[in-house]
Amino acid sequence: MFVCGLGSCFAKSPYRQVRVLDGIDKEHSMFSRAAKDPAGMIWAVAGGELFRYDGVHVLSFAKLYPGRLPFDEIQDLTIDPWGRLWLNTRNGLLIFDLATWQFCDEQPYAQRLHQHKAIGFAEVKGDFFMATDRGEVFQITATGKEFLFSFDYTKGLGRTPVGRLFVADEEGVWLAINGRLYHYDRKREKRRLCAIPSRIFDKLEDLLPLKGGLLLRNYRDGYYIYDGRHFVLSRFRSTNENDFTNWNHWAFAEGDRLRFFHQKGRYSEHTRDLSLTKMNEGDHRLAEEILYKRLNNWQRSGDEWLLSTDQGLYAVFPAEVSFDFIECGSARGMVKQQGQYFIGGYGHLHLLSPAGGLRAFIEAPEKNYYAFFSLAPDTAIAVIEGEFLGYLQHGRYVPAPITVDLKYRDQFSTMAYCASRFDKETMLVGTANGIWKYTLRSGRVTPLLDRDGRIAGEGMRVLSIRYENGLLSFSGEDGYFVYRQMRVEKLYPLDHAHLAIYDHVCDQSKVYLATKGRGLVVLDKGTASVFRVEQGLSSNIVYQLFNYNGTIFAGTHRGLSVITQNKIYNYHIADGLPFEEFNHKALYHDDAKGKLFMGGTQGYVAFDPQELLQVAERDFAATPTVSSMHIGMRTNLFQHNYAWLQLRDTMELPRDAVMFTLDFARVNHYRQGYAMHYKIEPLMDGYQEMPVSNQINLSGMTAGEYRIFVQVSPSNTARTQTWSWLVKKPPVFMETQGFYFLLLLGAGAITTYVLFERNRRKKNEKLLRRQISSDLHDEVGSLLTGISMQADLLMLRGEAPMQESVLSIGKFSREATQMMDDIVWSIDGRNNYQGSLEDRIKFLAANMLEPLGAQIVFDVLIDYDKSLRQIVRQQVYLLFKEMLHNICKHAQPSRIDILLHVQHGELRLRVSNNGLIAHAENRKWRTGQGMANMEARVNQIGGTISRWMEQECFVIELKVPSRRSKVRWSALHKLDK
Amino acid sequence: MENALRNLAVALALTGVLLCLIGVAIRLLNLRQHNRKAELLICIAAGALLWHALVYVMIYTGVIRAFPNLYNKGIPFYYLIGPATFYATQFSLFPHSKYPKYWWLHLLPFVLGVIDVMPYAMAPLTEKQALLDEVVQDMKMGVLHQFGYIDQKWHYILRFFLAFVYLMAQWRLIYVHDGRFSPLAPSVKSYMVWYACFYSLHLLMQTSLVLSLLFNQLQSSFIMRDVYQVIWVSLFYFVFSLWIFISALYRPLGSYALKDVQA
Repeated sequence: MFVCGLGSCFAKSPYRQVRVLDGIDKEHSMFSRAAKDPAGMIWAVAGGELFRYDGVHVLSFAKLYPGRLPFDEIQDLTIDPWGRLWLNTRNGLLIFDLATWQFCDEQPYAQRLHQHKAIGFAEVKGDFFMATDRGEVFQITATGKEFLFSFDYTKGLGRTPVGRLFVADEEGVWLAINGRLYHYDRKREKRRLCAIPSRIFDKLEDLLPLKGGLLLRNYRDGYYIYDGRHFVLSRFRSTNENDFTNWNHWAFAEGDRLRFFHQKGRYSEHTRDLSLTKMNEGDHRLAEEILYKRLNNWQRSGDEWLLSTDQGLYAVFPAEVSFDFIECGSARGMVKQQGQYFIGGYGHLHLLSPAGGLRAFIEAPEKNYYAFFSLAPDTAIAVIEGEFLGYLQHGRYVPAPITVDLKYRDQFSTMAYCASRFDKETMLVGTANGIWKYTLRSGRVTPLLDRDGRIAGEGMRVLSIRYENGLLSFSGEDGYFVYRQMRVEKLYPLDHAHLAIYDHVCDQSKVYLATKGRGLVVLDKGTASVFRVEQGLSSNIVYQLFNYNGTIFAGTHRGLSVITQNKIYNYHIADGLPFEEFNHKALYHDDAKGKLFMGGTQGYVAFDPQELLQVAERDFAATPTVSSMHIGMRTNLFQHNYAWLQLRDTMELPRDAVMFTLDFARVNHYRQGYAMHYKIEPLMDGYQEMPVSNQINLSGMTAGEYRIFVQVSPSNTARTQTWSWLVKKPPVFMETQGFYFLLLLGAGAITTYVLFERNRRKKNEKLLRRQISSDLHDEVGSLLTGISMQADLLMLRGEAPMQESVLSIGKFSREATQMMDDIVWSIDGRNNYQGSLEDRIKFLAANMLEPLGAQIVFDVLIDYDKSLRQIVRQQVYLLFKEMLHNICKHAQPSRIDILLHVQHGELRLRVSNNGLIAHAENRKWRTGQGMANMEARVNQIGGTISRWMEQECFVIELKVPSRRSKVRWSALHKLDK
Repeated sequence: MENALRNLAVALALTGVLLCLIGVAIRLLNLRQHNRKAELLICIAAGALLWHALVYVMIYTGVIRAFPNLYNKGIPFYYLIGPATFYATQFSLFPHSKYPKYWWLHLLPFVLGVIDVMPYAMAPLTEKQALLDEVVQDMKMGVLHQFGYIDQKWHYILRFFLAFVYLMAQWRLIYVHDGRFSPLAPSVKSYMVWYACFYSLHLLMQTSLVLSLLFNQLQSSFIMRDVYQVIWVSLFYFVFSLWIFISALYRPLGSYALKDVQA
């Protein structure tokens, strides 16, 4: 049985250890070197190969490094404060810069070093030193190196201990080699040298720098103090045998202290000076077994030590919370008598002595000790599953007398699980069949009955009973109940559902219920609220509750939850908890010591609840780190980035990137449990839990910016922190504004071309019409005018033998001039203005009809704000002229009505006259060439023409659509017909 | 580099706003009877554009938070830019032309815009400020907000589609106009050609940004803030404003027309 933590119930243990890795893989558990880089990732050497562990994956450096590896075997490894790996290979020193992901040999700090090997590295508060196999010691800086001193390396390194023979502190640098001790005073910049007696040097294992001297660990004799002159064997001894002879003992310097971890959990602190004054003493919780696993190397990284062993990699670091572990197997109730703790469970009781010893209490019989209830300082009732009750008096087990009335024997169950005091003489005991009363004096057992004569909680396993302030409350497999005025009332759940409730505690008006499956239920003045996993509880199965000044400590199926002021903090194995599954009734609070004991499947854990609350409010330091970025390109190529310079807060992707993957490291997760959630803007509105692989993938990216937020929520502190990265994806040409500009320009150019072509035809036609009309008017018109004038002159002279012919020539030429004038007017586009047609019609009517002496009545209405189309104006005018011509030819009218309306998208021209002389009398129409021509013209403009007699008048009407589209469609329709 | 470009874009836009404002003011002061309609319409278009630029700059810089009542007022006026520019061209090149009988149809988008900005105008100040806080943080919210009856992105689509149609019609007018048979001075046409050129370039640049937004709506917030895109829009707006200013100062439309028409 492991007992390392027994004494620690009463002393602080400042450090704890965690196994970081079982091995590189399942088959390889040996680590020879390990170091932690400034980003928190662990670099380890195993089997001569280099590996990186980011908290999620262990990856070989050969996979991470894109080129050919310049080494075959790594022998030693350390990392400087600037993130450079110093790799001692069989063929010399290599320096690998994590920022650039390149090996360095040309940089000032690396020049001339890579051809040699390092025999030691030392680091103190950001200063980094190295000793080479050329007998030189350098101080390395961020950009260069400084030579400090030389030493004799002619005999080689000799024996290589696990500890360090090259160390440094603020005052100086120490090197023990070949029987000599070199000391470099950093302030005076001077080297001193002295010989180490061979009896000391031969068994020299480790150096610990002191103020004003040096502490030399000799694994045969113990510690020697070197004060600058003499080597003196110190009186510093361990109480254990062979404590200094091998690595079951461990020590290091930290600040102004030396810390020693001895066998059997003993721990001590001493001043780091020549006096080695003891400052503190106690127990540590380092499992010594790790020191027996063949420790190959230890390296310090910040406040943490990495221990490379043959059976895994361990980290030792200051403990945030002091959880003291009492490893006694599955535990139940606990009670304290005579300063000793009696731990229940299955089988024998366990006895934990104040001195720290734990043993099976074989003086008491093996039973299922489920719970205890203290009646007096040295007397307790033991609730026994299967034997009802027993007594523990003065540290001795005494069977309890039990007398059950005959009439209740069939209902009585010896399976007892909990107890509470009812009155001075009576105990209430929760059993597998309800609650039973036990009279202390007589040992008589009777059931607790209600008004109907039924046992309170009958048929139900009662798991928790409390009788406080005159009110009896109990919980069991069916829910939570109160018993008052001889009535059992179920308070939760209020429906008929059965819910196992393991425990309940009352705090003022509130009642907390530990349920199996519903988390922690809080009843407050008739209302129930629930804390579940979704609200942050460790598990929905809660076994035990303890009320500490309003703060509830809940032992659950998956860790310890602390609920205070509506905030929940959780503790798991990663936080130092030795186990996560707690047990029902395994709870004890030692008021005198201020310790809370909570038991589970592997024993008890003890801690100061006040200290735990203080830790919960502390800041959390875990920082999410991008360990690598993989970019997939359109060309099916992948780009892998690991260098810090490429993984900064702002990352720029190539233009042809189509997907990227970010690998996040889970640094320090072994020190403190935390959850990671992420969000990618603008793709996601809320946070999602980080997948187990800790990878974020994004594919099908459009150009722009992607902001990645990672939220770290520690399980046991109140503060949540958020980090963000900006990933920029520049656009390819098709995504640029320039492309869209060109696209629009192209669309505009095509549209413009179409419009241009269309308008060009119109413009040319217009120009042609104008040219024709001008030519006709100017050339043909003047010719005809000349002919008519010549004819008139011949007539005036009266000389012509053919007077009539001359008269005809003059008449025809004037008619031709008039006709040409009409044609010129009709085809000239300049006459398309509004009102032009109206004026011309009036003019023509006056010219043609006035000689007939008829009355001409005009009815003109133009309700059209645009000019008529050229073709419409032309054809309407010629049609009108034909109408008038027909009147002149076939009628002797006394009245002519002319109607011209342009409205509602239609032009209507109607001419009516009386005084028909020829065919009108017969009411028969003769269809001649004139009418056919008129219809042809009408068809061209998509109009209709009709004629009829009306009250002795001949009416002819033309209807033409005035709007363009109508003209076009009507014309097409007509032509089709 | 990005900061310098960002400052330059803001400076260009603000200078453009100032030049536009002066250009509009000079035009309004020098209105003459015969060119009244055309110049007024140019003023309306330039005024709407300067408002657009000003509000964009205010959002870009976050100043809009101090003036929540200025936000979301310009949408109806942006619809007027297209028709105003078109009719300004028509009345300049064809002085005898009149408004069509159904001219008010051109105002329909304007009216719809007025209706759509009402919910924001009527909203409590706190809601306006809350929205502007979001818009300044994430310019996408300017399109995604719920203060309106329609999805706000349709304003962009409709406005720029109409502007494109009007622009085509405007270029048609310029082409159809035949200086040989026009009583106007040739300089009137060149005036309108320059106006159309600068307006077209500005519109093309703005529309290309809108297209960029529509085809990559996921990154709309980034695009609206992307200085490498905004700088071009800002530059072309500045050039347009410069023309508005210089033409108003030295060779306003009236001086050509009046002189030549009288001649």
